Amino acid sequence: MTVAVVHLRGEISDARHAKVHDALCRLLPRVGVDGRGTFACDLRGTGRLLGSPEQVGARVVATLERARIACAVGIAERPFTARVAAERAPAGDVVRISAGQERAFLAVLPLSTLPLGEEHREELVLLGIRDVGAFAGLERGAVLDRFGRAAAVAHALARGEDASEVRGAPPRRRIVGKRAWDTAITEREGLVFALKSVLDPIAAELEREGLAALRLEAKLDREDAAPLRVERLVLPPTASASALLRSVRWGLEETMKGAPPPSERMKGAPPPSDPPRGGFLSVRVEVTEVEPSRARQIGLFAADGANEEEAIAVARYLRSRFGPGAVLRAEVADADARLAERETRWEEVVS
Amino acid sequence: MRLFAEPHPVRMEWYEGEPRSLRVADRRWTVVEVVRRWRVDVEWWKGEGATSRDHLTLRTADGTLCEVFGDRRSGGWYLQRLLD
Repeated sequence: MTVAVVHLRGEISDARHAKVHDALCRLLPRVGVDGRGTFACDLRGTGRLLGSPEQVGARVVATLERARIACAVGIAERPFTARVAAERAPAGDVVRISAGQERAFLAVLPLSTLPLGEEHREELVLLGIRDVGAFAGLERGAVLDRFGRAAAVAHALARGEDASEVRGAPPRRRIVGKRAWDTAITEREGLVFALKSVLDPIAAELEREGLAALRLEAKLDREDAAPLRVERLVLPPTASASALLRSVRWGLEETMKGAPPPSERMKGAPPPSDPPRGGFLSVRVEVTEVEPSRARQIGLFAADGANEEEAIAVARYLRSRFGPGAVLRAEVADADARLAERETRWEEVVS
Repeated sequence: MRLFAEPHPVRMEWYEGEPRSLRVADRRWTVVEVVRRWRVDVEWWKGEGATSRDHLTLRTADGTLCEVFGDRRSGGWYLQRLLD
């Protein structure tokens, strides 16, 4: 794996962090956030398209310089080494630690480079271990026995053996839909239809970006009353227009009834507004929190009733798609068996 | 626990007789602890049909706990199950 870590210099405000995150996501396929002002970019498989890692690093530095943001880029096989290289490089530099040199690069650095607790660090110093190289030279089992798992992880980092991956984090997105009407809407059905016209494009945008809405806010302006505000936590997160509409509609109904906040309401949200008088003039819906869209877990053991029928239907579909052996159920055949394959029996869920 | 219907072949890397890392497909895990090790010899009287395996429960640097076994006849290593 080749990783480029971009480390910003100077004051890093929320806006600046978000701006750089957005810019990097436009340049590179997988960008993870490794702390405030530090971004890890997985460069695997990008050589033909983007050029060498050094070229990518130089492009990142130039792009951010145009926005008057100083940074340094570290490139290495492992995220930790790349981050250390970026933190130590002068602003504007692209530093590459070649494969095989990572351990030597880290060896001369002080122990404070590693994620070790103060207590462990002091103990190591008392034992005469003052740099990463000396720590890496310790026997692995001894480190684990004496200092525990967290130190064993730091030891793996020191030896250039960490197998951590860059976890891609998409930048915060503002997905907003607005609509205003010439004539105030007074009928419930008319309002639902109008909301649908706002939520459909939002759902389409979520779908396009591979995202699902987790939280959303709706603000409805009224003819002769204060605006009505609804905040919803959407569980499970979804990009489905009908599910978003259902959530907003329930939220509106709760608010309009003046009912106590439902369990779904966000903690700290304002109390329900007054029941509406007059019609609705406009609506603005914003998806305030998203997460990557993923397949839905079928709630076989859910408290709301195991949906076995649905599970069987999905198993049938998967079997028709991937053939026999695709959907299996494990059963204990012999709990005392000494070989795992005799301990368990696998059977087709559907035939 | 995630038990595989068919054990996945893994490539083990050793250092001074201790497992250092395991590689499954293109993913590599660094081993930080051997939690348990045991040997299974089954039906040794069958000669060629006997099974002889070395089992290890390993903890990796990312906190994964997994069980691997090595077939003492073929020398191949396999990932048997992952434990959460």
